[in-house]
Amino acid sequence: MSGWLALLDTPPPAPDLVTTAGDRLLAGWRSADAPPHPYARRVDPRVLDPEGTPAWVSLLWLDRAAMPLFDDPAVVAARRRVLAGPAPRAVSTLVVDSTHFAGSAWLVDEPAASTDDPFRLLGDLLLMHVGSGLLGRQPRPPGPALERYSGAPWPSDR
Amino acid sequence: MTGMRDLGPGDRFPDLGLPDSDDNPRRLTELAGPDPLLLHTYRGWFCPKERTFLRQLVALQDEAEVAYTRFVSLSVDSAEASGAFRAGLDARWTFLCDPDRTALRELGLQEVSDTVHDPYLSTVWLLGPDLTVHRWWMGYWYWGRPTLDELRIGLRELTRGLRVDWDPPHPEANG
Repeated sequence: MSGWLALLDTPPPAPDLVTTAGDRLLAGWRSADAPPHPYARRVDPRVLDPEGTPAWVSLLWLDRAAMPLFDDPAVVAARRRVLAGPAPRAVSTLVVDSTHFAGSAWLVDEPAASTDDPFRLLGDLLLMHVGSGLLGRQPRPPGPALERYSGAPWPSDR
Repeated sequence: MTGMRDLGPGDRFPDLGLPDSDDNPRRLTELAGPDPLLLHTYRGWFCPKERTFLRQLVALQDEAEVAYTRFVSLSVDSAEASGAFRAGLDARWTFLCDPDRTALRELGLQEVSDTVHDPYLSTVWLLGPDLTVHRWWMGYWYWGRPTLDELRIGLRELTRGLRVDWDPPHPEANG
């Protein structure tokens, strides 16, 4: 199953899931293989949950011109800290292709815990309170493996 | 259940369900995913032999990180103790917790000579994604444990059997 996330100003035509995120909207799709919206980015589908309770998300949504390679040492170091540091409610990286790191979503229940986000060194974060019906809970990925399969958004197994 | 010490290559290790050090319920098959799994049962944070061996595994984790390989360590320590121990080691894999000793009794891996801590025997298992046993070591005596080179060789054999493209496609395969 594929997962997609888009940060939008107006409601998209047919999202599987949508909720408020600060003064914007976060939309999610859990099945589409192709991008369901021009601004959608792939996400680990396990973080999307229609039964999900409200959350705080520390969102790194990088401009395309500023996306490092997924294997950039800074990205690898941040993913190592995900495995070693304080656990979030859920976490996923974002991808737009098989090689670039397009951002991350670090989910927590309390805004103070957003400062643990290891991806904060890779760009400016948006800290948003997200309504119910979009983001669930997912234990942090097992380690120490960090490599991805077929350009999937880490930590998705496929 | 057959005692785990009777298992050999090709046998199936039980798909344990236990909480991790963050108190999330986990299963071994979920933790293995599609990758080889190194499962390590250990006495507890208090044991100097375990600390020495775990530092060896920490030294191996940079290789496992790029080799599609997962580790799990299991003890009777509480989630709080396991989490603190894991953080102190800078370990980047999952620590499972069995303070009620439910799985310990089921597996028959209790170290009966330690009546104070009632801990797990120290064992190391190399398992396939479906928990098929590739090889295991008894570490009651420290030298019974695998060296990192033995683990590398075992993981090479295990991975070779799992990856259909171990011998990558030849150029002519692309026409």
